[in-house]
Amino acid sequence: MQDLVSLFINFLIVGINLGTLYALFAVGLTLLFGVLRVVNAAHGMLFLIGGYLSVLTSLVLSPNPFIGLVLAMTVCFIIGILLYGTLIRPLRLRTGKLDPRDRETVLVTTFGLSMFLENMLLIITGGRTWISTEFFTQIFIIGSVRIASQRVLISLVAVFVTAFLWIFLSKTKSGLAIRAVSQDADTARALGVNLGIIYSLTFGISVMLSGAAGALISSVLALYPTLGFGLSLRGISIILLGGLGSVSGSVVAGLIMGISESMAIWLIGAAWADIVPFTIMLLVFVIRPSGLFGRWIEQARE
Amino acid sequence: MRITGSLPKKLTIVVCVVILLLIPLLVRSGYVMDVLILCFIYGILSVSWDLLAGFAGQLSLGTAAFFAIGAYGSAIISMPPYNLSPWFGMIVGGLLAAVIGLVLFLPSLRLRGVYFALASLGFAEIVSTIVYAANVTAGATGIWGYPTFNFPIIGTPIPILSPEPYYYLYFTMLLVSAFLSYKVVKSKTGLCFKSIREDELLARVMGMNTTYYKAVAFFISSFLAGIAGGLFAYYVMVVTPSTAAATVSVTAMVMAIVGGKGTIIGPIIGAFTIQIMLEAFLFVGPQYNYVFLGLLLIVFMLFLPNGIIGLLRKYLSSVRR
Repeated sequence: MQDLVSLFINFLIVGINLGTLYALFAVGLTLLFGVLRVVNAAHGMLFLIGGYLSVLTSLVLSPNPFIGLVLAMTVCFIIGILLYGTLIRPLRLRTGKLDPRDRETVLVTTFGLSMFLENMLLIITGGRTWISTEFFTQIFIIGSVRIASQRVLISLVAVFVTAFLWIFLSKTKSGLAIRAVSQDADTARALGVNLGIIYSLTFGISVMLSGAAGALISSVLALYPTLGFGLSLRGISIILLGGLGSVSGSVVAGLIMGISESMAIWLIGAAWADIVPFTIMLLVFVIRPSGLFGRWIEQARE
Repeated sequence: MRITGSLPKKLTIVVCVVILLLIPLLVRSGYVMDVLILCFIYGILSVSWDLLAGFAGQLSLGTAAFFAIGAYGSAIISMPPYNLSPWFGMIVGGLLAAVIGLVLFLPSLRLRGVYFALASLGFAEIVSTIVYAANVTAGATGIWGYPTFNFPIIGTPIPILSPEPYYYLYFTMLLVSAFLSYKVVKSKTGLCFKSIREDELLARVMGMNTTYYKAVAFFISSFLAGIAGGLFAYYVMVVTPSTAAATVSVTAMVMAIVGGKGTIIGPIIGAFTIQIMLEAFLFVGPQYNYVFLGLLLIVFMLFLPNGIIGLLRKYLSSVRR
């Protein structure tokens, strides 16, 4: 009995750990949707790129994970802006690309991007998994529960970054502009907000957050290019659960997803546990398309 | 029955068909026939995708699910205890894909645009996970050892060694699928598909039961995809979970987009082009083939949304002036 409880707690902790990273990851995706109304199918691959950059930094520059994090975030931010320029801007002919058709187009193009990145990474990494060494090796032991301090740190940083973003969105001028555009792009534009700048800024932040989550996980998860697609799908599932465009929703949903997946791995095994995110996705579609905190009351269904 | 289209277009199609019919006799290369057989199979698959996405306007990212259901279904049903002949087996595979798809996917048919695409993606991934983990599909090793087509005089030759009968059979299947799709597209149902694609809200306002027609498009599309899967199973003689991989969906999609979506020939042209290109990459640098595919998708979606057929149409219409 004692064994069962400690097993449960162990999986729960891993789940929370995963959940905080999922939350960070999903916030970027939902922000992108809220502002640009598009789904980035390559979000998971960009997460991996953040991870790879972090591993690279720890090998080449310094084993300090914070440096890897900062570098990954910076590079990913730039990548985000570049992606906006190449993938979204060509579609912006008139006021903006709120055209539903464009949404499908972006989904498909980012799909292609994901495939491109996955195979490029396969070629570059040569089929080996990458992982950076743990910086903090101390393990807390409470009773029969073992908690790795590295994991605690990862979650703390993830929460910190998420909180930082929250402050950015609610207190700074740019953050408010982003929220304004996500609510009503036309009015925001009429009030003098430059849509192009906001869009590219949002894309940059989105990829930056994803890269941050990837950089954080790189010390506890062996990175392999094929993981990216599954991550993108989990991200989509999370933001659907939380409510498209809702930042707080994706935080909650991210935690739910992390814990559910961990529990599922414990109860039904890793092979079948893969079903959890997709089942959640379909359930959300059928039961409540607007998600948990869906302030985005779009007609997803007829 | 008239086949609409200008004389040059009809002539080109006839010439291509004749060439393809003569190839096994002129080019005695098993490799060439192997590549072309895959082109036929993928041709059927990409036409199936195009029916749903190009004509009915419902972007589906889950084609691989039906391809896999068709492949596994056909393989399993040809083995004991069912022992069904492959001639019926492939139909069963197609029907299985269509029925399972419709039943499981019915609630999602009311979704629109991106949401439908995402739901289809989720569905495909669920199928992929089940196929990896379930016992009946033998996990990662896959299913093999099932019989394949029994031809009248020739018997059951091994596909890799003597591909000729398979070549003609699969080519016929491609032509049949294309013809079937053509008839659907030209019918009243096809017209309904197109109006749903153009403006679904307007179609509903005019009284059309769009959900019904979306279901029909979905059914036919997944049926054809299942047939393609069955044909794949009977040629390759082993069915693995890779049939359900997202790569299959994306490949079919790229083929239809590159060839020209919204047409019947477009996806077929795309299938040949892409498959031959992927084969070519095997000589140049095999790891780069899907890198290139991803790039192609991005480029075509952004700059050439009407594919090769679109380019041809633009070129021909400007030449006529």
